[in-house]
Amino acid sequence: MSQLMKAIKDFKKNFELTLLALPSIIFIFIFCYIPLYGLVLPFKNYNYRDGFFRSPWAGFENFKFLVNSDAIIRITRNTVVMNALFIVFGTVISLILALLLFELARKYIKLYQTMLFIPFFVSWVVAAYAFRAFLDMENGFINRMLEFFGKEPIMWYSEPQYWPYILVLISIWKGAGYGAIIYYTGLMGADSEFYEASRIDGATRLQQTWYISLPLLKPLISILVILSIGKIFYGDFGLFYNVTLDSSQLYSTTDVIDTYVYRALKSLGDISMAATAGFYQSIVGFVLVLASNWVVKKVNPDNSLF
Amino acid sequence: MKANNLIPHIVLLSIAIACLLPFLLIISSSLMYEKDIILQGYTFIPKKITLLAYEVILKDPQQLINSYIVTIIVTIVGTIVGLWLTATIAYVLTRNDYKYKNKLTFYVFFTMLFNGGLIPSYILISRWLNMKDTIFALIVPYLVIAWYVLLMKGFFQSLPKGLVESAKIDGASEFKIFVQIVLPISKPALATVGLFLVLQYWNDWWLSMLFIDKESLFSLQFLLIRVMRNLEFLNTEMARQYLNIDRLNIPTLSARMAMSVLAAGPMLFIFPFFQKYFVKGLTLGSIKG
Amino acid sequence: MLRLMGKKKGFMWVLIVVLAVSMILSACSKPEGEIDPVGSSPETTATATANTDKGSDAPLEFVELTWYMPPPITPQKNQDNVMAEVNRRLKEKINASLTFQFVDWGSFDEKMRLMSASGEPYDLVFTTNWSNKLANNVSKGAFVPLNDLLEQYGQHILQRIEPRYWPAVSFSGEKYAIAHEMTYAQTFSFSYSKELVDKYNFDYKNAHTLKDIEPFLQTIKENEPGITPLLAIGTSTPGLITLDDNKDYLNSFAYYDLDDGQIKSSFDNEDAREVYRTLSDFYKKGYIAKDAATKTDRTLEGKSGKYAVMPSPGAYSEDGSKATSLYGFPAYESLYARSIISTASVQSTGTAISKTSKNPERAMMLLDLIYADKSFFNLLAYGLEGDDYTVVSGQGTDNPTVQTNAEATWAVWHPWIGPLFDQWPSNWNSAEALETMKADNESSTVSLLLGFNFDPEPVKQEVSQVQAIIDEIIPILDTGTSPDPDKLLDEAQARAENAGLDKIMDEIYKQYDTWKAENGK
Repeated sequence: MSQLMKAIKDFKKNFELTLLALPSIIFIFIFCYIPLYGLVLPFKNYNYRDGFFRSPWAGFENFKFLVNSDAIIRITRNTVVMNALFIVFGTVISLILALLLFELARKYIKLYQTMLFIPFFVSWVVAAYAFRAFLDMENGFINRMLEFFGKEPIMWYSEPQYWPYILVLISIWKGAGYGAIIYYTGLMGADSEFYEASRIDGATRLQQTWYISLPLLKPLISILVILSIGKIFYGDFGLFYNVTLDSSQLYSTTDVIDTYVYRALKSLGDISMAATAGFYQSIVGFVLVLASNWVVKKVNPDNSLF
Repeated sequence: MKANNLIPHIVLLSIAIACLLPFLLIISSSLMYEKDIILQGYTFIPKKITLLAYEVILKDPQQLINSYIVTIIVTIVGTIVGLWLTATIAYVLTRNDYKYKNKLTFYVFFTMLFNGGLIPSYILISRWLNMKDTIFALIVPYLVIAWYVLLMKGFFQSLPKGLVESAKIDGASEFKIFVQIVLPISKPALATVGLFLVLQYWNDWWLSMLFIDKESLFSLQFLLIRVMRNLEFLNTEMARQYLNIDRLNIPTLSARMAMSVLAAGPMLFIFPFFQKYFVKGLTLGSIKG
Repeated sequence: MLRLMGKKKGFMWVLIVVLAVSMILSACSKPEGEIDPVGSSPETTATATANTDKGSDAPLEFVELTWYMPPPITPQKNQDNVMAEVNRRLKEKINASLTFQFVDWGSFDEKMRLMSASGEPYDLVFTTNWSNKLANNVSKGAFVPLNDLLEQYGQHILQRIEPRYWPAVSFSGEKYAIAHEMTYAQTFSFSYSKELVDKYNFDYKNAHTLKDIEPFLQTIKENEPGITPLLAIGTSTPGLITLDDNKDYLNSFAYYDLDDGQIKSSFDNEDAREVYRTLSDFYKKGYIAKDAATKTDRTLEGKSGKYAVMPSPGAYSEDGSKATSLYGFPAYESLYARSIISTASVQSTGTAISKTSKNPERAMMLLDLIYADKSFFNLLAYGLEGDDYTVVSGQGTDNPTVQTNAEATWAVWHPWIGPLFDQWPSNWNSAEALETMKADNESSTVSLLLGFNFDPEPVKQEVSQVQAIIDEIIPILDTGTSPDPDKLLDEAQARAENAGLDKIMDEIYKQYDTWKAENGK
């Protein structure tokens, strides 16, 4: 009884805040939770006649094409390793850019931010063409330069060993400006009195960065990293498919879960099988987020996601 | 002080130029003749310049203007409503004294990783909510996106807590605190997430593809993509089998680049508007004063 | 972690509410007689197919029909005027109206899959063996069986289409699409740059295989430094099959050999292996571009004029006109292969009626009208006289010769909607061209397996894995990029066998035997 009373009291106490968030809560419920019945798809043999609930169950049958495939190790490794590299380098570079921007006067910031942000606007399809201009085996700038210096041209699109580096560079090119804006905004929230005070105390700018800016960004960094860990099993299809020109000679380093699933299913067009890959990625991501959130919480509860 | 700024300038400038190079290439190749692109590859300085790609894309201005209007309406409404919904729930999630904080965060986060897939969402929007072929189908699906909520939460987290507490002691309602205290000091955060929402809506063609059959409701990006795909089709032998027209000079490579320029162009005008709010020191001082 | 468990419990509640709400929603919003994709109601309402026997003289209720297909051209500037005339005539004849929904190529498959899967109403749809695949749709239950409808409302169609083609669109005896009349057998030709052939006096007319053209490639390699002798590109390299290639390709990794009546896996295709060896040899000799394996757009490449020999322009033309038109400079052609009439080739353009259609019988009436009324059919395809085309001769007859306007303001390709040979002669196809195509159909080899559709459903796990392996090696093999194609193929074969190739082949055989027994072959 007292428990119920407590629950009601809690509810009353939190009522105003709940009300503030209520439209969003309802919205999320309708548009994200109601469609969740689609999660049965991976375990069904979906056909249009019977629909979601009456299509025959398939158990784990639909996962076979993925799990039994001889490519599973290759695609999982590529997906995880490349994403891990993207997270590490992307975060570091974005942070550096944001901290550098923070040092500058406003009129320059505008210019740099705009320039850095432009690649985010370019679709992967177009980006693939632009990078081809650099890497093309006959006409590419890089090969022309190599020839100019008397070096052997490199067959970029058939030599997989270069691609982990190329992909990291390209992913930074595309996303660093976006990340920089996020961290720069994080710095905006800082209380300028901290900086004033530290300057009076004679702190150098490097010290300010290290002792004020970075600690300030910690919660934001940890949230963003935790969230990207949740997506570590998702390969960016546009990047891995378009930018590599889907060259099968590169698959040993560039084939990821998403490109493999696309290749395996494009002629069958099977809805249930396509859903299994997404389910596999979600589950792993979910577990990883819970784990990393748990770790962060142990270290500092303020920085954890929930 | 000034000399100290040299290093950031050099680093940023070189990175910014590296970012810009591929984009310059896109602009220059949008001005090239198709044949030159195939023969010489993309180059920074085209030997011969043509506006053919732009002419082909802009051939049907009525439809283009129409799509611009659709996209502008969708972007403005979507961003404003989306920003409000995102900010309210994100703010609640940062309040340590909110009892259901962790549960609600989990509720939001869960949707980032798990979704029911395309078909259930399609059924919901087109059949249960009857939004097919209406402008709502282009706005509603992106209003609350878990990733932006959590990002916003990240921004709000660094706001000074004392402000809210003192306002509560003064007896202000939560709604009033949010609107009169939290929102004004969160301008950079709102501007950033707002910018991302603008981009999301501006660049979207997927919702048009799914839910719109009426040409009068096509969004800009979808229209451009359709033009592109049509050009590609005209270059296949299938089209040639039927159409006995000289279509040798249909630019597909340069048109794709021109489209990208047209899509990114308005950003140069939108961006400064948001940058206005990226201002240091808008915090305590300005409120106290 | 304990706290997490507590959270989970609350979460269970959310899920339960979700389930309940979605069930209620799906139950409420389901109008009578429609497919219910969520399927929460205990009994599906059967779609109103032909079993409602409407008397032919009872007045028909006015209905609106929608027809989904990829856009033949966009924008269709004259669409409003053409459709106004179409609908005026339709109202008169069958008291209905028609809307074409043109969904661009890149979205078409996905959109149709979504619409069918979610039970969205639409009536007619473009279906083939290469886009919005017929067999997949039938096995998922997206289309209405047509036997009764054809019998009742489609007599003109039944009379028109030759009985030997129907099995290609029939599954267990039920017809599921109308495979419109067209050229069923495809021809393939080497395309040569006229300038280079004339310069080196190459006897292209008698060159029908890769080996035959090798001397020419060698000459070009030696004398023309800026020219790549052969344009090789995944699946489109010219000469991949030959004139004596008697094979019915069931999918990308199994084929039926007409010579010995066996179904084999592509890894056992000795002819193909020989071609791959030749191409690999060509690659080593420098006849093929180093980066050929990453090229995808053969038309663009060919148009550049960088090549001496290019892929087939889609069909063989003796005077080289097809290649000239495709590549945009004077070209010669020589025939290198002729496909046989097979299930796949007959399925290459078809129309089906959706299971979600509210008026399947009216949709069939529309199709029948297209087969019955030649001028209506040509109105749909060519558009309006004056606006879209002009009559060159035979004004007023039922078969005038027309010329379409220089700017295409309306076009729907005839075989996408009806019988090609009812097409009025035009700049698209001359009367002679139509006659030739008709004669080609009569004289082409017909596969014994015409009518056999392999259903991958029972072995789809294996099929998808093998498909992924095939897609990995094809661009390499077809361009000769692999130094040792046999080794590559053997390795891929071993991988495919691991992935269940034998199981797939057994399943194909099993289905083939069943089909043979059913059809008395």
